[in-house]
Amino acid sequence: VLEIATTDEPPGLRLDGEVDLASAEELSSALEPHVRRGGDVTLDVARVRFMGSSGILVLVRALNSLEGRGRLVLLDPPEGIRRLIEITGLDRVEHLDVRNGT
Amino acid sequence: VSAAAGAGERFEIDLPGDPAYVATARMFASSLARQVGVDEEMLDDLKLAVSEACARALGFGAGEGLRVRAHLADERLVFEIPQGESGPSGATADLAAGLSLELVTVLFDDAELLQEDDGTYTVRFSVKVA
Repeated sequence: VLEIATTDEPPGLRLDGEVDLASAEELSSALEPHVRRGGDVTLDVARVRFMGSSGILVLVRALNSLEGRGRLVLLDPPEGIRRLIEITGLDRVEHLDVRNGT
Repeated sequence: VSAAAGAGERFEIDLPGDPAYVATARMFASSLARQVGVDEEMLDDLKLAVSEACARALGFGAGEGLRVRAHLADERLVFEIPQGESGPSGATADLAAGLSLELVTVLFDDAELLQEDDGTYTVRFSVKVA
């Protein structure tokens, strides 16, 4: 189960729950207007308890759609997600930042 | 699901072939692992690997149901997640399934996609029981 809230400052989404095959489509839809608008998109993932490869694919597709018109920022990823980002090589992808907010 | 842990003990869960139940498969795997004494530090990797194997199975044979099997052997907890007809060529043909299998392989050294006697495939890997 994944809860998605829109944030204005910074523009993006705040996620709470699990990003897997069951919720990836929902995340993709929620990201779509942000990606279409362009500019930096911040995903607050501090409360994401699980993320699988389907979540990674959503992020990669969002980056592709952004086409460099903005950056994708992952805010406060917990240890498990940090590890997933590293082993999939997403941390080395252009236009993606991992940031700690606090 | 049986609970008493000893060598050769087998565990199994059958779930509907629906993405919503992949979370249930993750919980089954992590609570079983905790119960038989797998190191807490391994649980995140285990949940990810089981989740990926289930996602891969669903990506090919959705609707047929999800199954996670586990057994204890040589002080390891061995997980098996049936993949139906989807062998190695199917995996490379599909980006998502390929990534799922790749992740399992990265997480667990002994991970493999093996072919059963009946021609179907199974993802298998094991984790040390402390």
